[in-house]
Amino acid sequence: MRRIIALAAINIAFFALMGALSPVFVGWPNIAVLLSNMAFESIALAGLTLLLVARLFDLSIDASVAMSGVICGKLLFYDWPVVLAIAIPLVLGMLVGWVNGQLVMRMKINALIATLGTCWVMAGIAAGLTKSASTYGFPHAFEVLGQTRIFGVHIFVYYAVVIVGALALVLARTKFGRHIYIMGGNPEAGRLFGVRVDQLGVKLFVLMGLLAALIGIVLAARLDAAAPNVDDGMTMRVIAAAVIGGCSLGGGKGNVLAGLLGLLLLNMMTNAMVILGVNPYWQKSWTGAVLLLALVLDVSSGKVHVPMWHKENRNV
Amino acid sequence: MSLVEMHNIHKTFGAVKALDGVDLQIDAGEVVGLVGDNAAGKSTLMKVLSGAYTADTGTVHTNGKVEMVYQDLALADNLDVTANIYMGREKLAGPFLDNKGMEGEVRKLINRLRIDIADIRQLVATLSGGQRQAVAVGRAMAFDAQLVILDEPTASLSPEAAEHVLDLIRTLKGHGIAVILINHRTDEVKRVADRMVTMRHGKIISDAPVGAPTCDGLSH
Repeated sequence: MRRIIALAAINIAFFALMGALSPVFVGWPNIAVLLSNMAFESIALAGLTLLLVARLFDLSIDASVAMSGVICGKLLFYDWPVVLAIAIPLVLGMLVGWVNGQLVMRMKINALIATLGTCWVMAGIAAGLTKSASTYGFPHAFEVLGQTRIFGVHIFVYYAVVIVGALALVLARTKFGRHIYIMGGNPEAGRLFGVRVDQLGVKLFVLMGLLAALIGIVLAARLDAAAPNVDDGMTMRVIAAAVIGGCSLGGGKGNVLAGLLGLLLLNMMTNAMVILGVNPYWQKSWTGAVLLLALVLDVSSGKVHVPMWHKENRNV
Repeated sequence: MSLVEMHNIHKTFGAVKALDGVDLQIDAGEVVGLVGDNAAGKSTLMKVLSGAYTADTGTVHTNGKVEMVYQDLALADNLDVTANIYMGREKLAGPFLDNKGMEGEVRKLINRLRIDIADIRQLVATLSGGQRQAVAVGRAMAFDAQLVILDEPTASLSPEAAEHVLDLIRTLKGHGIAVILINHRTDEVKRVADRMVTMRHGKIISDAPVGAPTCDGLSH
């Protein structure tokens, strides 16, 4: 809770500071842009937070987003019904998640390496299917899924609110969520007391695959185009936001709301740099600096678990 | 009828005879110390009793719920006392966790067992060794166990914390709960146990009331 309060205070302070520097920043049109920019990442963040709390990891989100969008786009391009063009990549996304789950939970391959492998496979499929060119010109019935506005806000912001809210509730208040924390804290203890840790891990990867596919499809609808490199870097930004929000790569810690506040901070910074005319090439450096600052503050306050070999190295 | 009756239990792991025709009987409310050298078969026997292992041959009859408190306690440090006590057996109110209900039950439990924990919302990582042991025992007790197996509960504790655990065992006995105490420290066992069972090479070589000459002689 202290983390949420601190991050909320930082976000408010940043918003107020930027409001003083540029009235454009606090105007509704810019806030609507900010919400649109955050929507897709917040869906990915919610899924990834569940994985991180369970001591798992997924590097394949970007590629899953790209592959799903490309497959959906190709199916629409060849005049498949919209329903099938949406359903097939969703199922494929879940299948990719299931493969990730099998590799990590059953075959005990490190999640970082396993999902890096599936990431490259999917990135290759997306690039191969499109030959790195965009597919565009989709039917209206598909475009409305990403281009409709309600009260001036894109429809996918509402999707994000519902999905992120539901996952935040699941993690915080349900037995499923409690078992995720148990898995992250002490998976062996969980097994002894009937928590099906391996099944749970697979379910979380499948959920992440489903969410990534959904993002890819809605993003294609928003842009009226499907490209193989549509949102490169989403995974890293989302991981950064989750860590700023208090998730530990060691598992067992973190929540969706705090991660969302971390994501809001990163997005406000990016948005502010655009408004202030800062060279966009510097934006990644700022994101990295904020992430490092958050980690340094956590380690200094003893809130981050430092592996033993690091502790030993400190004494050398 | 006894609470537990184990008869002619055999268990082998490859060529190793872990248990070789063991008979053991436990009555309700009885505290039994189980002692013996490493690899004597104590933990294997208790795993057969708790259901973690299946005996190759022999019979196990229990007339009540058996809970085992593992030596490493199997606690999740990132969760609070209530979440650990209800680990894997969470109470629900509709689709959501019944946190109020679980906390209410845990408060009653720690009062009943006289466990010294001021705040049940405290993370287990912040508890002392004795308090962690108490949480693990409390978890066993939360689900109406009639027999609690404690595996080396004082092994890593300070004398003061160990004393709290022994008090807890006396409290359990006071509530009519049977306890099997696996322990290398026979002096501790003698202070709380009614009976001491000594194992060697997969067999029970002594089973006598605490204080009986046979028991004292063999346990040294």
